[in-house]
Amino acid sequence: MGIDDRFAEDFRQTREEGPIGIRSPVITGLVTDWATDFSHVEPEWAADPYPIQDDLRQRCPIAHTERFGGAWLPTRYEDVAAIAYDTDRFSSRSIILSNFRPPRELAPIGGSPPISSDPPFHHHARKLLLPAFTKAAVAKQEAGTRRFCHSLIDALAGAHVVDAARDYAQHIPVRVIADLLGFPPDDGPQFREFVEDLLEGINLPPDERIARVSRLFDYLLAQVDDHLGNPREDLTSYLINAELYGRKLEPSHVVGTMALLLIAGIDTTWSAIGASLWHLATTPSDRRRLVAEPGLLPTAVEELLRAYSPVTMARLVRDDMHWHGVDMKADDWILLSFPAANRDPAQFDRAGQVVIDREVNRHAAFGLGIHRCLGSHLARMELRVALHAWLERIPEFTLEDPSAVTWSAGQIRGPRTLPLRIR
Amino acid sequence: MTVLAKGRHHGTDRNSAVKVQINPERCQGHGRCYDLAPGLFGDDDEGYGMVLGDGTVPPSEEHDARLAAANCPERAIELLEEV
Repeated sequence: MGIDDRFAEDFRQTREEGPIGIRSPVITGLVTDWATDFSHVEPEWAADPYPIQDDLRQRCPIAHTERFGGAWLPTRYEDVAAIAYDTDRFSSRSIILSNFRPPRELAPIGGSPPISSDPPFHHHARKLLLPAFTKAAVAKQEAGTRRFCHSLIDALAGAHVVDAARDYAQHIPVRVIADLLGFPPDDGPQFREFVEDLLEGINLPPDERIARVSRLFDYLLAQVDDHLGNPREDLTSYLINAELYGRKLEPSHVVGTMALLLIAGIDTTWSAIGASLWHLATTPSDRRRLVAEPGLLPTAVEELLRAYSPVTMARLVRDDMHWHGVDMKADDWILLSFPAANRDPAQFDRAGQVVIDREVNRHAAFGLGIHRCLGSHLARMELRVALHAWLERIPEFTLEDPSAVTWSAGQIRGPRTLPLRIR
Repeated sequence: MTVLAKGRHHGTDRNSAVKVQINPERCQGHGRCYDLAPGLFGDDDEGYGMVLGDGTVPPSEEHDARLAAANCPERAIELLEEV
């Protein structure tokens, strides 16, 4: 075996010579009619999307917008599920809705396999990762995660008001993912910038967006270099050595998957932990019940995931078609709102209410079909451990200033400022 | 539609057996079955659900079996009532 020289040249240079995608004009500003002009990045949506979704579900139920070059927003569970299952007519080659559509030639692999991949490639790329994310594999991280949660709570000692989003929730997935990928734990603050760049910066001018995404890939390539010189037992070394179809992975695949694991693992779980603490701070009866009955926590976690599902995905329509009453055009975006599906009264009893001991809960917070969230077992563990540690140490807490709470805009929704009075 | 009712033959005079099955075409490895009914389901090396043994549900675990079926996001679990 010779030296691994796959990463000697920057793979981004060859990609630039290939087909280019489609850029659409950036349209921002107040939404006047959510049925015909929706935007999931405007402040009204970020602050409280549920009444908007409920209204659309009753009167549309598939909303449209000319923004982002054209996009559709289904709000019924049935439609969201049908799209998630139909990988022939809805492509995953870009799963973050923006003003740039990658070229069709990027399918079936996409920029960050397997989340951006379509069949049949998807299956093989996903299979490489599944063993690292089983319940048993994840259980090995539970004790360390618990210790880390307690250390974060130790650091709050003496404070009366804390920001539970910034001082607690966000650090937990950052640490877990840094451990998995074998990145320096002190790089956490950079990860959060990468996340914001990718997921919240969708309406930035295209060149600025490209420059920001480029910073993430520079970081990842530096990590690959470090692991090539100093291989270790982590997912980065695993991906560098992994084989598909009898060959090592393309460098763009290695780095694209690293980007996926880094980005998808962080603000999703951060959002879920934060939204759960927000709910418990504003619903004392649920908080007291969970303090008294910690055994109910796994059930409660499912209900909090249903009611405050943090993740919305995107798809691209493959060809022009009439679908469930609307005329979709090739390359139209679909905003695949699992949060809206999870509050559909046709699917859930008391859909708009948090029923903390809900026993039957067939929610779709982790998606449906072949793209079921790879990290769902990890996310559930982190959420359960983070809430358990918090409730054990800080059983009494309230929202200090409701008007100071801020929520992230875009496809991942959770509190980014959450001032809680803890004593 | 799966209803979480107690089985008609719950108790000692039961004359039917309940079996569970996973449809591997539908299972995506959400793991709700092995979370909720660990006595009946396990997982394979990739996290997909597996029925333990031949899938026969002891009367004491019938509630768990129904809970697992009712919570599977992919509707991959079938409950078979064998007379």
